[in-house]
Amino acid sequence: MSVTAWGWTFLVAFGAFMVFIGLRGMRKTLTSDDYATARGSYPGWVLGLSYMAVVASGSTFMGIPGLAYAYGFKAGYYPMLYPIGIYIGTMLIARRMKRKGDRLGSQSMPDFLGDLYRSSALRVIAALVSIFLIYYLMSQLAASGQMFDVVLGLDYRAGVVLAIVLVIAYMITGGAHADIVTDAVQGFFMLCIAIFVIGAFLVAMGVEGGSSAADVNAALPAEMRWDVHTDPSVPTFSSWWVLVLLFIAHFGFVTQPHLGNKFFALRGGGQTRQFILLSSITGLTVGFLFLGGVLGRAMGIEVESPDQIIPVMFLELLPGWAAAALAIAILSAIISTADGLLMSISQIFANDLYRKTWVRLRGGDLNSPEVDRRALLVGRAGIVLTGIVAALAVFDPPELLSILLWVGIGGIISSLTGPVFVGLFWKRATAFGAVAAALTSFAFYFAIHLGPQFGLYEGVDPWNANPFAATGVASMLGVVLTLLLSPLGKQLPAEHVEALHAHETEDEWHGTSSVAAPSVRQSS
Amino acid sequence: MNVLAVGLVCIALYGVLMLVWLRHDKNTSDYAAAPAKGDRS
Repeated sequence: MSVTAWGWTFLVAFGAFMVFIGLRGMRKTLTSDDYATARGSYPGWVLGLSYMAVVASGSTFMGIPGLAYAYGFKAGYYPMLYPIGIYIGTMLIARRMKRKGDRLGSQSMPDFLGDLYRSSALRVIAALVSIFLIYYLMSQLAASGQMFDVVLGLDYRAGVVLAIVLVIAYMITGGAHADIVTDAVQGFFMLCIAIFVIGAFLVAMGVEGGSSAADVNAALPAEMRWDVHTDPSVPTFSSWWVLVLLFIAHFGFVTQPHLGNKFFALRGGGQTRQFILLSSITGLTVGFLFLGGVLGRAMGIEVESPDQIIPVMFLELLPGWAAAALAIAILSAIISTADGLLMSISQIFANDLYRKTWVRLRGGDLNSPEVDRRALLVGRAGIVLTGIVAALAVFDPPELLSILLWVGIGGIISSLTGPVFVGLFWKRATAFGAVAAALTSFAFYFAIHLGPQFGLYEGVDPWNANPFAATGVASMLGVVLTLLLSPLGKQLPAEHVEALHAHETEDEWHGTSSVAAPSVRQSS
Repeated sequence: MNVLAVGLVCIALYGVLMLVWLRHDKNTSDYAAAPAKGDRS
């Protein structure tokens, strides 16, 4: 049987599995809260694998090995540093966010900010900024299109369409439950693939006359070897301080809506430790997939686009069936990220903009069954609409996946890091400080990075071309501004602050009560 | 020092930080330091 035939066989099996999970998820989805958060439903290890899979995304499998193929070992600083930044940020806020989010009954990151600061303006600003997640979705669809092209022999555009149809088909049925369980399973597959790639690198598999990592290094052009740490001609790795900013930029990665809402699904605050341990260890491991890009270069493989190096390398190294299985597993990882993104974008429309903003403005009852039903409908319509727009946007394949991804999410991280991190820890943070910081840091990110990226003006190197450096400084600015400007605004009511910052109760620790404290919910 | 060694040192430092956090988290939790679930009920 050919690679293509094996690929289609595995794809059908994978599709059937997704539908199965989607249908099971649908049975658990009774309210819009089940759909949006799967609140209090999963233990730390399931959510840890799921979270790792979403954080890693298609970029870890295609974009980052692509960078390593193009620039050599120095590209490894990105996947070795970014998980550290992300998991430090996660460690800092996961437990507080879970506790406070449950008390407020928040269903998404923008909703949480609106509830935390009692500010509809902040909720709307965070929701609108979060629509930038569509860039993230676009990069996942482009990665899927390339995978279908390489492994299944399908035209790139047809691959993009097939990917979005697959994701939408089961997201419409399942919501957060389907999202979390499929991500966890796919996280396990991703881990297995990473271990295989690391092993292949260590024994120099496929490198002529090679038997160790040193042989892989020796087979590379001099400027790509492991003793070369930076390259002034490559904005992402131009100097040490740019690498430090890359690390800092990822602290606030967790403020993206498709990640922040995962904490609400934890079965009690007591599961946080298990969640952090498993997600960070596995997340750091899958980062080493970049070694596949280095190995591919050392093997002398030629590819049309650097992002295709991992699937092409599998085809060179493995029997057809095994290469197809691994490629489909990667595809499933990419789709797992795409479904989480679609889920979050749908919540921006259904919950943040419709229910918590529109219905509230019209004086309706936010918790009525009718509003719940309509919010579900709006969410599902949002999934279809966003999916179509994102697929059309990448009908011509983008040049570099990981950069496309960051153009959008850099804006989200820049504006939300300050309000989220400061608000979770500081009782005197105010809505004025948070709104001013979110708007100013987003404007700053736009001025130094998005403006040049959209071709409005040239900008200043490296900020114009390096989204990590731009996000790093913009998010730090957000934290500083939230701290400095909060005292200028009206303090939040003492009972709201005290109820939110109160110690974790035994029920909250065990997850035996997921109902928010009435005093907090009614007043939010 | 090569790129991989620098990366592994950074990861080792993160490991130390995580251990410190796990210890801190345990100490500051209202319930983690309490007797096991069966004993509490």
